[in-house]
Amino acid sequence: MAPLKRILLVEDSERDIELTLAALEENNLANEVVVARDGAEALDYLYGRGKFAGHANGLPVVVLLDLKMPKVDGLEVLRQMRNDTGLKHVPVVMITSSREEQDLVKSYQLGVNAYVVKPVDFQQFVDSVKEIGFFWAIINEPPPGSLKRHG
Amino acid sequence: MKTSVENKVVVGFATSVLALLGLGWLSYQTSINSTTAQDWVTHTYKVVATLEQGRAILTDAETAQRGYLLTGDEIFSKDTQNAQSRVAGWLVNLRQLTADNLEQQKRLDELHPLISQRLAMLNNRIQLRREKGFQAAVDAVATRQGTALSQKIQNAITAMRDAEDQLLLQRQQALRADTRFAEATILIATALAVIIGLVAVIFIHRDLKKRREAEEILRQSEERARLMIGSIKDYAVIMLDPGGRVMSWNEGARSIKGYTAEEIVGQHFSKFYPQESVREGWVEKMLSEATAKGRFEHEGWRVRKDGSRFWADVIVTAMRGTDGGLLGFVKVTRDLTERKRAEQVQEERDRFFELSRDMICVAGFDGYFKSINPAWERTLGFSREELLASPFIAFVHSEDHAATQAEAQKLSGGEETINFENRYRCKDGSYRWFAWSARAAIPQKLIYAAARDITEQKLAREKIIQLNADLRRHAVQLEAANKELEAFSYSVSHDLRAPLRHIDGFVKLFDKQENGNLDDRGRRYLGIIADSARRMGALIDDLLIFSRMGRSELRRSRLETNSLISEVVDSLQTEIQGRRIVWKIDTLPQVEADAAMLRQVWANLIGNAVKYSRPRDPAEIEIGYKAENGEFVFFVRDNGVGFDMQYAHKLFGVFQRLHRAEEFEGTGIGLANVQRIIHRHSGRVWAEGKLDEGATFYFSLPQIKIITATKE
Repeated sequence: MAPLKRILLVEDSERDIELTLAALEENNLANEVVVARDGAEALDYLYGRGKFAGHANGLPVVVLLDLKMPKVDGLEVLRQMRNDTGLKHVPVVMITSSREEQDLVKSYQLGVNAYVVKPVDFQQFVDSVKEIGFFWAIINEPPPGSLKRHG
Repeated sequence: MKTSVENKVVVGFATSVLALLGLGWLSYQTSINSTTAQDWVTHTYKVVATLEQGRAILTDAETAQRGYLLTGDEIFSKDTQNAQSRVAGWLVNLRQLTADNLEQQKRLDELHPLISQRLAMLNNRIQLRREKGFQAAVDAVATRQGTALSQKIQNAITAMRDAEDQLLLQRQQALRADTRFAEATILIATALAVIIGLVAVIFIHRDLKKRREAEEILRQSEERARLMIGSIKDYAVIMLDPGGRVMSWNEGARSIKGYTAEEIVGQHFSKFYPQESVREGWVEKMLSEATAKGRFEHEGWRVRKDGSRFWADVIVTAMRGTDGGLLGFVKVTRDLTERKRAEQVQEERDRFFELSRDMICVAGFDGYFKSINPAWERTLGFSREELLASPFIAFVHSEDHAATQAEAQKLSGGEETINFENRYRCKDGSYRWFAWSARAAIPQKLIYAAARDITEQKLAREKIIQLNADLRRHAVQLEAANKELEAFSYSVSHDLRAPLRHIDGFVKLFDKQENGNLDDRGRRYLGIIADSARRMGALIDDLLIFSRMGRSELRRSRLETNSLISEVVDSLQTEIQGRRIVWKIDTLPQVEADAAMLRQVWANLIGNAVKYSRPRDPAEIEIGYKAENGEFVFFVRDNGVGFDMQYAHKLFGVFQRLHRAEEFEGTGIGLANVQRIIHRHSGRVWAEGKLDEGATFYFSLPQIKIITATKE
């Protein structure tokens, strides 16, 4: 199977990871999904360090970023990415349970590309993931340096 | 002077009259004397004439005898007899005439017998002729006896005549002497009277001259007095007749009262009094008092010609003639308005000083009070004497001594004291807080100060500080609570929803996985699980919104109400689809409000109207407003299922529902949210309804112009 654009999913909840992957699967968006279990891991991945050291990662086409995580939360990851010249153009979609306005505001201030509230209704979530994946992983032309679809 | 002249006139006149009377009397006496003398002269002439008459009678008798002797004719005899009777009458007459002269009487006594002899001789010869004839008679005659006797008689008469002539001479001389004396006396008396008259005239003239001079002096002095009174400017000096009408007017009256003499003379002086004084009978009282006591003084308001009032001091003095009769009144008026005002100002200052609740004092640089107002005694309980007896520092709280003395030092250096605070001791040992403002009069070495008792304010201030501290603590607590609440709702937002999401998600995955193996009941259970999770998700969402509506900041802007409503109606399309709804939406005014919040309000109310009118076909929804009392009252009316008014109070409570979820879905937070939002916009919200007849929900918002007005 030809490798699709790589997606970085940053999520601390195992259950959410499973649901998200199920939703992606449901929408036939089985791109290579790298899962980071918290912000620190996500940054390690993006910078190719820690347990991702030595991997020729390349940048993901999109980062699906949970907001509330232990250690380094989503907003901090976003902040560091936007402050890094190599990472600042990587699209980031905030996927979160929160409808809190402050989170929304902060996210956009930090330069998030999209903000999606995970609905309780799974079907709605599936629909949302479908839209997100479709747009960011297929339609959107990623900035140079991102991993291209191979062959 | 006057009496002296009159006395002199009387004395002079009396003297002149007496002199004239004397003169008259003298003249009268002199004239009586000379008349007597004249009478005597006349008498003497009469005696002389009578003596000569006797000679003639005797001659007649002799002649008649001779005739008879010659003729014998009896006619001659008769003549002789006739002559004889005449001689008798003559003798009587002569005796009477010479009764005053004894010598002549004696001579007459001698004469009388001679005449009687002669007459007897005559008769004898006549007898002789008749009886003895002519010759006998001639013979007798020839004896010459008769002739000798006649000669004797003639001699006697001549002697008498000589005596009378002698008397006549004497009497004429006396008469002349009397006449001369009278002339001299009259002359002297006249001269005397003239001299007395002249002297009197001179004296009187002199006195009259003096009197004229005195009168001139008096006239001049009166003129001066008149001019003086007339030109007095500060006093109105006027004369009134007994009835109170103005008789004279001076410059002062003109300048004080404003009338000219021409305007006012003859008018009643009540014109100068305010109506109320006239009504109270002041005018009559003044005149009657002045009449009774001679003088009446009074101070009061008077009226000028132009109607303005002035404060006058008036003295009315009754004028009486020398006979005591009332001639009128002198009325002296002084304009004391300025003094009255000054007095009033002074009085007010005094009263202010007396009544002031603030402690007012004058203190010397020597540290003692010089003057204090009664507020000191009232506030501190010390008597005035006690307060003046000791230096003021003795009453100051020992902790405030240094500051107080420093302040006094500053004052004496010319600085002002503003809001200096210290404590003064009361007689009961307690202390009162005073706030001072003061200034010093350096040349007089005096401090003028006023203090306000701020003890209560101090306590209140302390209380306020206490309350403020409490409030700050509460605020901090509240803020902490709020933060906790925020953290809580944040956490709810994230963490409470995740398990629900998982429930729903894995139910779906399970269903997908196991669909073929599940019977209907199993599928229904899964449906209920998923539905419950979703329902809880909705509840959490609504609760979060509700919480956010209470906490988040209001962002007011001007909103087009109608476009807001259009948006809301559009968002309800899924609800509306397939239903017949008659919309009646008024043209609504703009409001100033938080857009998101107000959208929430309309969404709730319109959503409710749509939801609860579901059983109606067609449903009718009316949206309108009215402006009243500076606010807009909006309403949303539907013809839906309505509600029972007895539960109206539950409509706006959180999680309060009047319908079961199976009838009408909902979380029971929508109207609570509406109320919270409207309250935050200073509005009110209420509802009217009737079961099965629809409901009307009202809310009010302040009108825009009022909001902008309060903003400015």
